[in-house]
Amino acid sequence: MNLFVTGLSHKTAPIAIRERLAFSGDDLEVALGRVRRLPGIHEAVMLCTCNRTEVYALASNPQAGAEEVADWMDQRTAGDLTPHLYRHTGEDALVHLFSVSASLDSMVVGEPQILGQVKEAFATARRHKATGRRIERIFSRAFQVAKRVRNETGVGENAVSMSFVAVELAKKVFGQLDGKAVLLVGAGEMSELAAENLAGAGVDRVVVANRSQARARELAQKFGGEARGLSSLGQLLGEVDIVLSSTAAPSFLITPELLTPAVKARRHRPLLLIDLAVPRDIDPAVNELSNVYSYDVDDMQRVVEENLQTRSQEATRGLRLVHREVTTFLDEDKARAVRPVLTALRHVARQTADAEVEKTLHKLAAAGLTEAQQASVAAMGQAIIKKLLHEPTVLLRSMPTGEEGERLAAAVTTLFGLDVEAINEAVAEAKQKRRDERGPAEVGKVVPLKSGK
Amino acid sequence: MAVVLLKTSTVLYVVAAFGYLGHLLVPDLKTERIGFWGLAAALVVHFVTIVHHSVTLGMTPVTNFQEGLSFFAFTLSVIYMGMQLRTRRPVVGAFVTPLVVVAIISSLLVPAEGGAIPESLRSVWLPIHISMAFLGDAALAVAAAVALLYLILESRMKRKQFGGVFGRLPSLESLDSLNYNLVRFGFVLLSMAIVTGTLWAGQLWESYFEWEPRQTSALVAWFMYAGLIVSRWIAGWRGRRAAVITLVGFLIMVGSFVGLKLLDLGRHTGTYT
Repeated sequence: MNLFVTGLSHKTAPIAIRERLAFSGDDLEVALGRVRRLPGIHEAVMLCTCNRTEVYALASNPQAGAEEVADWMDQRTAGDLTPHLYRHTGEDALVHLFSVSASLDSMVVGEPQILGQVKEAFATARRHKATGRRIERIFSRAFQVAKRVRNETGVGENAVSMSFVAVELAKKVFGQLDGKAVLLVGAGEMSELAAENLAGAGVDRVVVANRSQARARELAQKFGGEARGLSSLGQLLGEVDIVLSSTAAPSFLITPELLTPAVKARRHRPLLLIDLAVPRDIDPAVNELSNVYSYDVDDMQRVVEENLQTRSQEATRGLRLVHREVTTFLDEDKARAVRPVLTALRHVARQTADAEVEKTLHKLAAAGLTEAQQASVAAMGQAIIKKLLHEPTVLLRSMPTGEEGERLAAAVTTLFGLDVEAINEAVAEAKQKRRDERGPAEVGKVVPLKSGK
Repeated sequence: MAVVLLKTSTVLYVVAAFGYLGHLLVPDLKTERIGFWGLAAALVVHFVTIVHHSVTLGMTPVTNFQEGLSFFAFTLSVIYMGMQLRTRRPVVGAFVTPLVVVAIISSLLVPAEGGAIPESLRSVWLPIHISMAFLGDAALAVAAAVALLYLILESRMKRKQFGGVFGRLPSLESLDSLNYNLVRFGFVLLSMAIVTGTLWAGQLWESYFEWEPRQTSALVAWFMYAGLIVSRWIAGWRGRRAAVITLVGFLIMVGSFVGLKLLDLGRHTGTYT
């Protein structure tokens, strides 16, 4: 595996360094072109997000390739990046790519954007013809593994921002949020964000109650909701299902006294109160009322922290999965190394036999062999190579994975002096030619089996 | 043969219970399918057992405490299965299947006292009355399991403890409406069991109602559940209070089911449970 990665991320470099290597748009394309032309580098993908800049590439000598890219990055920033850059080659590079794609290396583990960003980076590289079959195979596997990690571990579960925790709590109380109403008390940014998420999760009705009517109307308009004054708070509490409060009021706005009649008016339907304000808007005593659930900033923060902890535990499981997948991938890769060697070996042997048979028949032309005798000579030639190659063929086929297979393939290549790549290309070309000769009309037609000779 | 079948279904019930409990406690194992199919298999085997038993006995096989428990385990599973197919809430299974296992294992342990069955009970009323009563009780038992789940989730939400099983529990609203639906369903069956029982008693004992303990306790339970449904309907009582009442109602039912049997009271005893 001659993949390598050179780069830096939020784990190794502060923002002041990262921003100097942050490419986007045309810059990125130019940079990708530069990297692609560095000596010894074949295929390359450049990943740039606000938390990382990385070059993934294939090189005949990955260590040297990684250094080339590191030097280029140094020049780019006209500074010494050495303490911030990491270089991984071979298996480690694969583990790194798979982990990054699966969001195991993200600042917020499990955040879903990174996979899209890796896909985007790969698509950009492909558009600029910086990729080839081999790196394409590596990346498409990285996407599969990322999906598996997401599905089979809990890295992406549990909200890790306050506004999503609000949605999660609402779902825990109400199940479906369709048809539910949310009341924003005060027009703070946090509650606006949470309301946006709630609306995204199905809440249809948004009511804004604010001291300043103008701001209330502005915000209400954004959600297609209605604006009310703070004086109608008591009545509104009887109507809505979720309350997000974030005013600058110095004392409690929502108290048990205000809420008790509302609970009756709402016929004990559950009410979720979320207090995002400091100082608090909602008296914690309301939590004692039946079917009323009240949470303040600290409660929400605790959920966020617990969820982050769960995610990091899940990330350990995700990493184990990544390591298993890397092993599988490498084994398959080695199997792929064996197959062309086998093809080349058999091709060379058959050609040699054919040539020798021809030569012999030519020499015997004077002897006037019958057609049957000629056929026998030809058959003998083929039979000898068949017998001779039987053992090695079986051995190579039965050992498709692991170091052993790779070593064996290398030995065969050396022993028989095979130019594996060239021969395989020639074989593929010949196949293509035969296919072309058969003509387009016949493609896809069922070829009838020959019935005896 | 009958014993082998019953033991087979017991083993399957135990498998199902482990499947459902595994689903609740160890999220990654995805054992709820084991629970579901285990329970389905148990139901089939148990059904065959009951049919086989009815044929040999010539009547509905609830002639003693042992058979009563076995029949209850069966109806409980039927109700839960119906609910699972409709609402897909395998978490509830973790609360119902252990109850099923307790019932079926007790039925294996309780000695089968083969008392003489009065000819008078060999009536077409028996299977009708019995099925209504048992299915009603089973629905109310599942409702109680749902109510228990509700109370657990509710107290966690009030005390703001979000770890562990919290993430796998369904929402409060869905549990509340599930509870309500089961109670209504159970209530209808209970009413029909009381009506059929009363009519039959009128035929058998020449008196419709005579403060016989089983009749009385059924009536008490009926009034409780009626009160629960009406108060929800009129005053909107729901959530925690509804869950508590459901649970208390179920405990009263279990109390009368077991207590009356142990004290050997009333005319229902000695014949069936």
